[in-house]
Amino acid sequence: MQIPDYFKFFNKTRIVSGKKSLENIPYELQSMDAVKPLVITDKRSVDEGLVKILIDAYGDSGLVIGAVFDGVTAYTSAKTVLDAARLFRARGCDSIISIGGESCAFAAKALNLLVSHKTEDLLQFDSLPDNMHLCPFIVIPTSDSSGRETSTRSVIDGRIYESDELMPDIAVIDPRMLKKRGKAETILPALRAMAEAVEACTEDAANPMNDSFAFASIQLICENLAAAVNGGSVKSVLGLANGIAISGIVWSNAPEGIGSALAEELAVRTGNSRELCAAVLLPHTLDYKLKNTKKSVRGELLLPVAGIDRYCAAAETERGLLGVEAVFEIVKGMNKYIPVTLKELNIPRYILESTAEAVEDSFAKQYGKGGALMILESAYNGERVSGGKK
Amino acid sequence: MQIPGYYEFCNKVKTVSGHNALDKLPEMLASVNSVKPMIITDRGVNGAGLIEPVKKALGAKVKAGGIYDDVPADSDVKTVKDIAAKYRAAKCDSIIAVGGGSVLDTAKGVNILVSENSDNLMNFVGFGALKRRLKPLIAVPTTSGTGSEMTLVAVIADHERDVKMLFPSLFLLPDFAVLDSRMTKTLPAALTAFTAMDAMTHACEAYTCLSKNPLSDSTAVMAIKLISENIMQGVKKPGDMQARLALANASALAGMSFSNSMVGMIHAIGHSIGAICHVPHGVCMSVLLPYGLEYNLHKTGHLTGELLFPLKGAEAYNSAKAEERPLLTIKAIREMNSDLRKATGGKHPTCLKEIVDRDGNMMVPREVLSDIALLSLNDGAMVYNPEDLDYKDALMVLEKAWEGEPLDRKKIKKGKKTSLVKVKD
Amino acid sequence: MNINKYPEIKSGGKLIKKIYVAVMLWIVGRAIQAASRVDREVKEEFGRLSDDFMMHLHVLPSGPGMIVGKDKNGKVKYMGWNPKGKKITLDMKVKNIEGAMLMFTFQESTCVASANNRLAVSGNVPDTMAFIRILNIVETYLLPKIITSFAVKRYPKWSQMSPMRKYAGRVLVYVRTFTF
Ligand SMILES: [Fe+2]
Repeated sequence: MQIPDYFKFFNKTRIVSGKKSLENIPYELQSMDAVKPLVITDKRSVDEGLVKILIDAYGDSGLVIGAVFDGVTAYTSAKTVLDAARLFRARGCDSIISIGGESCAFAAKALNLLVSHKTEDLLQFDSLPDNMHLCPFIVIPTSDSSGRETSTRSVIDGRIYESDELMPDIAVIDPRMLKKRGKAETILPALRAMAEAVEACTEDAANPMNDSFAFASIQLICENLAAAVNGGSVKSVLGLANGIAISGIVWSNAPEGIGSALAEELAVRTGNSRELCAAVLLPHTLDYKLKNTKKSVRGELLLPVAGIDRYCAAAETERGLLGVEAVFEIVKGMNKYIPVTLKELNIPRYILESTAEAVEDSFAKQYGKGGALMILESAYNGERVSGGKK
Repeated sequence: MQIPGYYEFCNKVKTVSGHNALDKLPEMLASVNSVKPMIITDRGVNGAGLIEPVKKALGAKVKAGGIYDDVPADSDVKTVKDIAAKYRAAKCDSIIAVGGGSVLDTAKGVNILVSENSDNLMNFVGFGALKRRLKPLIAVPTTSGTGSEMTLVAVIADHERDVKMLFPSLFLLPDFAVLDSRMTKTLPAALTAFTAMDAMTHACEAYTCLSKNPLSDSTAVMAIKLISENIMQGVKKPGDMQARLALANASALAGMSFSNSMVGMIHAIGHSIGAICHVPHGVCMSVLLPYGLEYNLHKTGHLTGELLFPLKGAEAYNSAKAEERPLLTIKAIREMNSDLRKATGGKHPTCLKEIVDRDGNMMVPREVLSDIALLSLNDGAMVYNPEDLDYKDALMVLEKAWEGEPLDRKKIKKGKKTSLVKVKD
Repeated sequence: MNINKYPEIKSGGKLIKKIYVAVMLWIVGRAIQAASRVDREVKEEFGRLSDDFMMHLHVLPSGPGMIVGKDKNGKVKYMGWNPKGKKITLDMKVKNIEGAMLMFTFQESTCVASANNRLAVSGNVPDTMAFIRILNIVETYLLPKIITSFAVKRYPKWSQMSPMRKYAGRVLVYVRTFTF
């Protein structure tokens, strides 16, 4: 086990998961001294009946929901947040519940900044102060969730707001809110969440606390992904949603890795989704790390990816490699439903080069010059990374 | 990984770990807008010179509003009130608790009074009584075992009314837990051994009791692995700072785990031995751990079997058949206790009759076992144990643990068997 | 933005579920009183509890609930639902009506419900433990074995049960539960 000479770890979010967990919300809000939440969500969640499920769950609580603001769109803008803030104030709300994916949670976090600081100007927050005393904030993940809901981050109009305190107080993961999705729509967020958890525990700075969370996240995703895609039993869908929610906590506690930086840049340059780019790059980044760094890909990765029996049966020196192989297996196994190479996405070579260039400087020291491009090239062809450091 | 039909998990404590983690104290205080912390500790800790690194870390930048070092071994209402008065008089604005379980319990109690501006702890007993954030609390553990830096409950005795009051609230979770290897460096071998076994018990019970969940599982496995890999080193080479840091991390991880998944019969019986015979908690845990796992085998044998991996490593796990693993896990823990007994020159007990006080007197005479059995049925931890225990069951366990013999598993009255592997009686 | 587009939402009711739980609580309350007269173990458990023992088991935020306690003469009695004027020594709150439904449709035993954090208890721990044991015994009386075995960790073997509890006890508890 790796324990660095110094590390910090923090997870503000309490997880409440499973049967009838929504019904706890009124009690939980009251125990944080709040009685009137604003629900912030998007049209899809309303159309799928998710808001109604929450309202029904409020039955017998004797409490009032200040309003359901359903104006969040895929791209969260300051205007939306401001509208929600005005509604929040007009109704005398004291807490926030977001239902939906990251855009809803981003809006909720920014809304919390505005109403807790009694301001209408998001831009005043250059860097967020400590000790903000924000309003109680509950996230209800849905099948649209990416894991960023439970993270320290909010992105509004492309601008990033980041603080430990932006993490929700509670993530309520209720199977009733996890509606069935298309296969690709189920796979991609899960693989991206897994990519981030894998990246976090394959960094030199990994620590045992974040590793524990990462392992739980990875194992939940690996064990439940196939079942959730094929048939979608309640257990597998709930397991997957748990894995994704935990990945946000892991991601918040790890430095940015080369894999997620590449996925981000590639998404911006090609118009493909971040999820897709992250999914395609995941095994190749790992492969590169394995072959070019001494300790970052530890044998322990095999444990959450393949389970305790396969891990223990493997020879110690082989585990790192087997872990990477197992990740390849999982991603390639999804090729029926999603592209797994950059070639399939028709990305021209010059974009690979400019993407590599954009992240190169931040990671050259860690992974060697030319590393970023090697990852992209092997992901392009779907081949293994060849050779070591250039 | 088992995903339960329902679970909750919370660990909102900022953990700062490292060989010089305390040096970050000024930053931590600044981040919660505190300029005048009060230090709460006990004589033992202060006498061991452990407040020095705290003072040094605060340096010239922060002036502590006082050091209270008179916390008794069993935190009580009077002390809490006393400290609260001093806190108010010195106009402090945060608390740094340096010590073990009772120091932290006391600090949590003080925090309730000063934050709620009250003089009566009684008003805040039970669930849901606290509704607001309290004053900043920084926990600096000086043993690696209780995990109280990660737990949300405070236990405070009211000697006048002869009751123990329970304060369970998420608001009692400390804001920071500082795991600094220097703070446990001087811990004597025997103390290192049994406090680590307390943490080990937290993790093992968390992994096998009713509220287990994915996060309590992964933190428990990590804790057990760290303890198994470092306990002997910590006991034999007290100055091994890497081992100290590992044990401190393990204890915090185990604390996170059991604070969410709760503990079972081992703690129920152990609390009762502690209450009646005044045996240190970790000592009871060391002895009882194998018995608790043994008693529950027909319910959670497969889970106990999985623990063979963090305890003895992958090879040991792989070379055993699934149905052999549960008993091997229990054997490994018994061996660990024997090894610790050797390494501590006989100070670490492997059975109840071996527990002696400073003068060598037996602390748990056989005659009190029935009282202990009766008391343990009324301990809250029994709720979370996989199998029921009545008086006779508890007494049977205690008698075997007293002698140091394994349980006669044929005599256990078994409910529905839920273990996925068959373990022979 | 037109604020009126986003109305305030008052929470609805759950009357049927509340009635069901109320009935169950009434039956369990009466059964505890009855069992305290005929079952040796229940009698002993109550004997160890203090003279002012008064337990309020209720659903947040607005009921239903039931109270069982000792009267002036130390007799165990079901005391209805209204805590007004009574000094409650053990307050067991179920956090919401759905949690109570899970418990009283026997999908979750008292122990599992505690493990799932569905209850918030104020009172001392030994009393709570004693009361959970009493509830478990009463359930073995009231319910067919197949259901009770979900509700308790281990169902007492018939051979270990006193003949009283097997037959006479059951009949007596039923009779005492359903007659006034
Ligand atoms: Fe303990």
